[in-house]
Amino acid sequence: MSEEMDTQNNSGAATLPHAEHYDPEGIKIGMWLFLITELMTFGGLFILYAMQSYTYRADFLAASGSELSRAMGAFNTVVLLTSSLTMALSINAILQGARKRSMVLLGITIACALIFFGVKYFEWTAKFHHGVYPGSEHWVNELNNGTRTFFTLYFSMTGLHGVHLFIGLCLLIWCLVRIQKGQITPERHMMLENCGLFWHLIDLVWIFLFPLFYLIA
Amino acid sequence: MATTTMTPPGAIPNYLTYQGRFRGILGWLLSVDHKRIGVLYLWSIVIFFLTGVALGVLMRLEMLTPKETIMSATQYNALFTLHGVIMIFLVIIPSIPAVFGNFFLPLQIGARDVFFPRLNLLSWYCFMGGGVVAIVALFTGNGFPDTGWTFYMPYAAETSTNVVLGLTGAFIIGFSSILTGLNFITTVHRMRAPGMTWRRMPLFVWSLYATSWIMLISTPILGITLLLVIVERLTGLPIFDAAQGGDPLLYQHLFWIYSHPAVYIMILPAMGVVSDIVPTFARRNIFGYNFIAASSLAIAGLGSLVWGHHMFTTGISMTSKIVFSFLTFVVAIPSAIKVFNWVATLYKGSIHLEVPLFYVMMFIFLFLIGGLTGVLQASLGADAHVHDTYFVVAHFHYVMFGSTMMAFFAACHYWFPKMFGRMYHRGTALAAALIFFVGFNGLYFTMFILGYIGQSRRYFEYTDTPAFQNLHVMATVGSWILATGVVLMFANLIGSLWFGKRSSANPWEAPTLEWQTASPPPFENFETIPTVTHHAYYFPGNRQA
Amino acid sequence: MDSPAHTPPLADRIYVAVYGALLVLTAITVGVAYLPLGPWATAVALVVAGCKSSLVLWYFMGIRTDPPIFRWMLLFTLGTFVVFLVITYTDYLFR
Repeated sequence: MSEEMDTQNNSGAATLPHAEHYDPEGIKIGMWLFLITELMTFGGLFILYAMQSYTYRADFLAASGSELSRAMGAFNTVVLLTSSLTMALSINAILQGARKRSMVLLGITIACALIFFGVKYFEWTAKFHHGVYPGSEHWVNELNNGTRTFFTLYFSMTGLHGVHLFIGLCLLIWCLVRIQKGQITPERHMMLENCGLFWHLIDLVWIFLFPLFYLIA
Repeated sequence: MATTTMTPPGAIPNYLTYQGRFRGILGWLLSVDHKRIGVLYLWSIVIFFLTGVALGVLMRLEMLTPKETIMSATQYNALFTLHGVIMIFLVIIPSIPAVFGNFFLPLQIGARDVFFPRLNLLSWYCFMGGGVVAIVALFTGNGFPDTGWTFYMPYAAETSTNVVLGLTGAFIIGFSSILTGLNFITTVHRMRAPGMTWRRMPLFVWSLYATSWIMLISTPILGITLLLVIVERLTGLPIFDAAQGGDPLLYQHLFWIYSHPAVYIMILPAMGVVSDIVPTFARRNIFGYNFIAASSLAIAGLGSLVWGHHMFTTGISMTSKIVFSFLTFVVAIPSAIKVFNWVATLYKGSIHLEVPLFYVMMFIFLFLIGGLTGVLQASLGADAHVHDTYFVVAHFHYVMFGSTMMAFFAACHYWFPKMFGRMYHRGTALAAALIFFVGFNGLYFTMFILGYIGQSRRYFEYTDTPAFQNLHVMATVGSWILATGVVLMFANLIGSLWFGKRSSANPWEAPTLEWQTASPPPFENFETIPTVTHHAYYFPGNRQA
Repeated sequence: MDSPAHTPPLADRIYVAVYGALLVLTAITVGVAYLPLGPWATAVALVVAGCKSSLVLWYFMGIRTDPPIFRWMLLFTLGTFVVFLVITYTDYLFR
């Protein structure tokens, strides 16, 4: 009996009643729920920042003014905003069936991400050069608790943001490949749209990181 | 399969015999069927649970005599940490949602699967992956962390034990929790059968929905907190290190922002199980459906705002303590609403005292004790007296073990015939429950008294207070009785997988949707998706409100 | 589903206009940072950041054209976060 059923199943697996159903709204709900977890992840860090900046008000203001370059921060903000725009336009392009345009726009987004990384690299190495890292002589002997906390938060928050940016970058490259292969179409574009949502989230977080670290002096 | 009693007309093979792309063990390990994933979770959680129980029995054995009995202080520290980590992260948090939620949420709302089946499988792998990392932490380096499951800073940054691996394990398990929550919410929003309106959903689904929201909102905060501890240990950034400007109290804030709601992640699904079992065996509609559903959401909301009551004896501000104390008292209200409603449902019901109801009544009793002692600790003065004593330990074991795990056992016995198409031995199940109950109260009620007279938790000896020994012996003997009950219960269930009598599709005459399909459920649950015309607990023939 | 192309929920020019607004707001927030506002500087910076993030959420992330459920989920999350923040502050402000 059981064997008979088994063979029946193997041949009949495809005939089972469940037709694959494609539900873009459900997929989007799932993505937003994931974004919510991301918001709360950064939320935990923002709570940390809020309390510590209350404790070390003056040190935070001083550290922000003396060590971080507003020009670099502002430039990176513009870069990320631009990438967000091209991301949104790229989705519009795929919806209209313009595959080439979509790929070019996505390419610009990726380029923006790389520029952002470049600038961040210069900023972090400059900090290390000035001895702003745990364990250095400068860190141990010259910085006070408030300043150390400021840079601890700076490294953790921009670091986590950078990790997300890197994941986003990989996702975008993957999207680019899939558009190239024709696997993302006007009908089935949720992957691109969800990656877009993730990318905008990265922008969103930076919109808060920028003033909190660069502009409070 | 000779499914003579309940073969449905179309004879779709059930989920146990169905063969997909893979056969044998791979057919389980790579299956995206929510029922098979539920069963995978069931086996893994039962194994972790029995391990945790064994560790607990060893800890009680150590406390048998005032001096060192069977292990050193260091071993004892690692043991209670391991016991806590296993029981909290690998057993209680996933227990009901991951096993019965996975298995029955789609069935109860008339869906074929969860919305993201592959993520569902991934969540099991995250769960097991985290467990494996924790086990690796046990046998490498300087052994398992000795920090307690709370990983409090600054000690967690200083101890030479394997904190980083332990935390990584917990971090990975967090993903499993998040994926499950994400899946459930999307499923409830998008996959209800025609006619299954929000107010027709079984209360188990409501409780899972509320639980899923807590998982989504709070788990990431634990994730980032544990990650920060890892970063602090690896890079030396002084995030929580007070000597360099960090703030260890912030660690406690962030940790409990997750870990208190986690208590409600544990208890809410248990309450959902009870809300499903009570009407079935009282043969009447649940009393106060709207209130129970709303109280699930209220518990989820309020429960997220009371974390500070774990910090009453730290240096947090008095204002803050008063706020947290007040909110903690408030959160007792929705919990009490549920208890009143269950009792009111039983009142003048046509009660069938089957095994699941028996477990549920023990749940209500134990939850009452656990809940009321919780209210006691919400008051600032009383908490100062019992903080970090056996009283607290007894309290949370009454809530987590006596309530959540009791509901888990109840769910095992309630849904066993549905999941496996067989029935367990009734007498053995009742006997196991009774033995468990006696052992449980012998162990933990004694600990209430011990805590009240001053026995601190997490000590491996009590040479200064040898007078405590009588009570300690009593508790230890209780732990043996309890363990006997647990072993007997699982032996009965596992044996019945092969030797149990075959069960009909609906042995309890239960009203909810999962009982309207065959036992075990066919692949993809329903031959045709049912159309729902009644509320969840509709008994034809009863005059219903 | 049959048509090869779909009308996007928001036209390209709307995105470009929003981008323009975001750039202006960035310029404002950087400019304001040079004014001697003292303790208010952070407040102003956060208000501007709030405006910018609302624009990103509302237009770029498409909350404007999504069904209401998305709005509720987001509001619920942000509300919870604010409550967490406020309750934690009750500790630090009153020590």
